[in-house]
Amino acid sequence: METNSNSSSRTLWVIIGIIVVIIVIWLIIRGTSHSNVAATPVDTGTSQAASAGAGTNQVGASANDSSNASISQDTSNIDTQLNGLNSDNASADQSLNSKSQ
Amino acid sequence: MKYTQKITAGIISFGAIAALVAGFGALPAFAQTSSKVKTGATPASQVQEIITKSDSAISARIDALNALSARINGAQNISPAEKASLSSDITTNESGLTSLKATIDAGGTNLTSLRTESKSVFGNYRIYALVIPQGWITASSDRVQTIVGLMNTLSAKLQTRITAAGAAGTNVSAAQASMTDMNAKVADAQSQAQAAEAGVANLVPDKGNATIAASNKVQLVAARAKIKVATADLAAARKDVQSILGDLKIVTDSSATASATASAQ
Repeated sequence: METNSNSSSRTLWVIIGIIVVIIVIWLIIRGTSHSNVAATPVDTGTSQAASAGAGTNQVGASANDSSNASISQDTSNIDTQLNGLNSDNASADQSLNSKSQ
Repeated sequence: MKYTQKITAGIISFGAIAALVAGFGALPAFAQTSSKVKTGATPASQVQEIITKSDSAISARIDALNALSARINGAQNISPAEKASLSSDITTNESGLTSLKATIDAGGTNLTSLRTESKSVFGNYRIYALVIPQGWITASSDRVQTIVGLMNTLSAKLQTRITAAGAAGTNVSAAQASMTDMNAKVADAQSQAQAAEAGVANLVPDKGNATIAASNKVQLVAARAKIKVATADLAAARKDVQSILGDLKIVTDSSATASATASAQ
């Protein structure tokens, strides 16, 4: 009889242990998911702040797009064409200075 | 007797040295006049030399025409009629030179006819004297017009920024002065390029006429001078852009290359 009582008690403790482990795991999972949900708005906030920072430089940007990026692209295109003009001029000079006909 | 021998030897030596000097002095002229064939060579070797030199001259001209053709095809601002006219000139000359090369290569051993055909590479096809410089000056003019368009677009954007900065309380007098100079330089560049293009548009091959050849040369040199002015204008305008960017504290990716391109002539 005493042996049966000890066996039941041990089984009970095992069940309790399993339940405790399950609860702990559940709490951990729940805690992790809560922290992920909380992190999302922080990231969004960061990117919004970055966008706002870029936007402050866009003085007068509208249909003509006078942003820094647009002006940078324009100057880059001009520099490329100026180099092309130097090349065209060199070809013209070479032929004008040629002794051959 | 001893003195007589010395004097004689001196006279002979002087004569030999004088003859050598005269010979070397005449050498360049001799080399120019006989550049096509070596005197004293056998007829067969003279024929081969004429063919080789003619082929080389023709190949160089066709290469130059191909490069010009590619550039003209990519031109953005010259009229379709002018582009078609230039392309037609290039194609006609390429076809003629290719045909001439075939004729020379199959010319046989008739030195007289070979010499005549070889001379026609230079006399009948004024590739370097007219076609190539005329085409490249037109290409330069086209490029200037492209840059003028880009500069005008950029000018409007920079003016917007200057106006906004002024409204915000920034002193923009220096930037505005640079902007005024930039617009003036760009306008002059456009005017110079248009004049250069017009100056060479109607030039015709001289076909051996020295007066027409001289006139063509004058027109080409004058047009090239206008392109030089336009190029200097655009370089100055580019410096103005850089000054405006500095005044407004606008950082661009091309700031580092500005000094190099702005100094180009």
